[in-house]
Amino acid sequence: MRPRFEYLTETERQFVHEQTVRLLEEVGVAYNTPILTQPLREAGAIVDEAKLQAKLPWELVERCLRQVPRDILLAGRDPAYDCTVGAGGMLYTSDGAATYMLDDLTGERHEGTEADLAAMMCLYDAVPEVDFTWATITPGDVDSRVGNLEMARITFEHSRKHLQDEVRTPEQAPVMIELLEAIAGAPLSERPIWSATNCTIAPLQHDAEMTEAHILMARAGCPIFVLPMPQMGTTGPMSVLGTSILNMAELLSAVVLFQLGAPGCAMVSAVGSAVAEMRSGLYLSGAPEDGLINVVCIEMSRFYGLRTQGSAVSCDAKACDLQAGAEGMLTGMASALAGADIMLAFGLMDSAQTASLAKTVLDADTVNAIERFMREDPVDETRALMDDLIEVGIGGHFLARKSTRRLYRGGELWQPKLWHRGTFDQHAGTPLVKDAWDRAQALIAENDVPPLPDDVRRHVRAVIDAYLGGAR
Amino acid sequence: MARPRLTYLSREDREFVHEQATRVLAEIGIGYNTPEAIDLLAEAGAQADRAALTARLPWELVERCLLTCPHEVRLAGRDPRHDVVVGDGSLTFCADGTATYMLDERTGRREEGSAEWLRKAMRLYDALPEVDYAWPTISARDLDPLTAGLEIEAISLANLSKHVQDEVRDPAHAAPLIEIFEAVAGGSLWDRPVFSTIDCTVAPLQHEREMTEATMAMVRAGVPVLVLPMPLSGTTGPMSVLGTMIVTVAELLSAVVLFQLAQPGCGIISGMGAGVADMRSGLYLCGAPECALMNVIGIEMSHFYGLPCTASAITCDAKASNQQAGAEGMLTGTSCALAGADTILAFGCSDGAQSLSLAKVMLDCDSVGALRRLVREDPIDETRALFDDIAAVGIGGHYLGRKSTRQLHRAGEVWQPALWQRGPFEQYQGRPLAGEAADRADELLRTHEVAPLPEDVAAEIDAVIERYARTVGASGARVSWHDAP
Repeated sequence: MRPRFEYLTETERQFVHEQTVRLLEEVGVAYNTPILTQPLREAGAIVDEAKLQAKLPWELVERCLRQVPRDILLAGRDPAYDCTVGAGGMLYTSDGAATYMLDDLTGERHEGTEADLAAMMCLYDAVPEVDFTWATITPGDVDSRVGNLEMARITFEHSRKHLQDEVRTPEQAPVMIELLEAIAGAPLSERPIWSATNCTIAPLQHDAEMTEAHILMARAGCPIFVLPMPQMGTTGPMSVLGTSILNMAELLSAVVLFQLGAPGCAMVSAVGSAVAEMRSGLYLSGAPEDGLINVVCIEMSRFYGLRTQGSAVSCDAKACDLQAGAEGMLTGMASALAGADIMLAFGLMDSAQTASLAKTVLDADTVNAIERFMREDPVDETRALMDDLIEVGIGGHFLARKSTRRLYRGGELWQPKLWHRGTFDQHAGTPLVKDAWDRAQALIAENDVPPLPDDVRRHVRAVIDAYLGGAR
Repeated sequence: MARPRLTYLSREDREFVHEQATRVLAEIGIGYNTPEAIDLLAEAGAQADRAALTARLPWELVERCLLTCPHEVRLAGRDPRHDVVVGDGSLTFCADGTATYMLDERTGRREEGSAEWLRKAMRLYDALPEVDYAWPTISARDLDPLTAGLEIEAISLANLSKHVQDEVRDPAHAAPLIEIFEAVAGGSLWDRPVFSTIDCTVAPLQHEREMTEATMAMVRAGVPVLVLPMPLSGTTGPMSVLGTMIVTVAELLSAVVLFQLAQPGCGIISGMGAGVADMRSGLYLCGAPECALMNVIGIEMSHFYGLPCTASAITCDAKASNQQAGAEGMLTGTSCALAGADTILAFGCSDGAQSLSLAKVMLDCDSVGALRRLVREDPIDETRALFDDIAAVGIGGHYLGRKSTRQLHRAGEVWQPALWQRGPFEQYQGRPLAGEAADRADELLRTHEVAPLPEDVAAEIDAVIERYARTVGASGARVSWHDAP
């Protein structure tokens, strides 16, 4: 038995579906690029060529949904870190792309650098709970014209796991493909070590350059994570339901776009919709409404047969404090219970603006606690332990029972790595965040990621430099 | 309307747990440890062993007693505006206890609880709308142990206008406490039960003589009872979530039988106190994921028997209000709220409920607020789909100028925390959350006034305690329940 969860009833899912379809058919979306005008029209969309917009009939959406594969390989730089979405079990990835790096011990922060990204990636490589990564912090000290190319380089120099990130211009797509294939040592269609995070622009728009770039990446074999991000109150309507409907319409419009641009390409529904903080306009990632939006969008994506990525464990808190834990666990539980295939977790706080080493290792305990809660456990004689109950009888204890030792060793009770259990005195004077910081530093220092082969490193550098030379 | 719901046991699984618990009651039986209970049980048809003070309970007897339990239990406040009905479909929150130490979050140091800390904690609970009722949350170690059982309740009632729930550990306390509570209620406790009693069973499968006799006396005066089995997986419970919950259910049902025989129709709430033993230290763990699962099973089985229930959540094993505290508290909090608990024990406790922190009380109010928003029933219809707004805004643009944005924001579509730090990083730099929370608690304690007990009621409480003190030979030089600091 494992926890089961439901939010929308079947009738309610049908209602959300109908509203989403109405939106696509009556309002439409702006693709903002001419490259798909013809395929869209040929496929049955009503296209406004001047505005680069299209209205999408449900039949077209449905046809495109049928082309999306159910099992998606996310290859690692090292095949030992390959993971498959849909193979059973939830995968965890790091959150991205923060602007700042926090010093957890002083509470000060600074703009992210290459060294910070390298440290975070080393840590993600060392933390087994992180299945794959997102380029978690933007290094302000690399040439912004080749930011995503440099981020891919830095990441793969320090991590053996799969990377998801963006390519923002179509000109960079071939360069990125060459760089990635050099690292993978194979075509991306065989070893997709990188997948694209494709952000739509709420409400109901696609970014021309990113769209064109990601179609090229999809054609080369990279999976696409579609990440609609309407914010309730600003770029989305002021309701969980309305924002979720907008999210789903943008998602389905991207499914049509990519399935026409790269038929059969792998796609994941990633939920990026959230709440706007109405005083500052900031993106809130730890609000209970975020949990609900994730639940609605995950349930609806499953309704459409799509694999899902919930946004969770991240928080709006400014440090590794009670708020960080509570916000992260609330959204984490919501996504896990709703049945997400992947959870975007690990490392960020302050509405995903700030990266933290201490939080990364503390988040590992959070996701493990969620995994224990969600685990399928037998409800039968092997766990009822009636023979033990009868023998211990009234009074007494279970310490000496063989079943106690056997099940304890069998993992009946989950053990955290860092969280403080035991006596108060045992931990007095050592704040949890200090233990977490020390643990992160030790993991980074002990990292054993083999460097990229020299010829690959030279090739990667040359590819980036050649592009920069051309860009000048 | 949509409301998130968590289920764990299938119908067959519930039947399985029920059958095993029934087997425990019928084949192993229960140690009641008091002749008073054994007499009642024997008369009702249980197989009683008068020498061992144990009884085996046939299902027919348990079922008969379950039928006399009310499905809703009213917990009256000293102020009737704070009355609560457990089991009416609403979710209420009660302050947890009973901590031994008071934690100062600013320094990380702790000290033993005292009457003054109890007074402050109860006043804070009085000020907080998130707290529906409370346990006397911290031990008052400086009270005379001979009279503390009475004075703790007097302090609680004097500083809290809400319902109080606590143990009565000594049958000799029952009569004076009933006098005190009736004075506060202004009449019979059948009409206004301003107090409910907690009956902790002793795992595995026992009742404590003194508390049991005291609880029997209390229910006969109209006081509802929270039955709180506390087996710990690995020590006083078997090493499995399921086995520990079978012990819990058996102990719960054994208490139902006893108290329904003592006072047919008395209000009984099923409490979740089962936890996990930290196998290195033997300590009670309350924030583990297995505790969340135990709560979920307990909630489902309580409802299977038609009993309202109180779950244990939000309290943590962390030693301070850090990320662990929030994660542990919200893991148990979300699972209990989603599984449909009627009441959740929450607020302020950490370190396996050994320490109380006023700062954490304040932070837990935000956790409770977030949970309430998560489990709120929301319409799934045109009023929330906002299709007209989406169509009018169309492609591009924003929703800031829409009437629906203002209207729904004001109506609470987006929950607003009182203390959690949203907004720009710079706004909070140098202001750790726990410190802000401690400051807010201090401010509330400075400004909040609790309606005092009427003078004649306070005088009557004095008289009852004085009389009792004389009978037990308590010293006159002790700290008194209404002593100022």
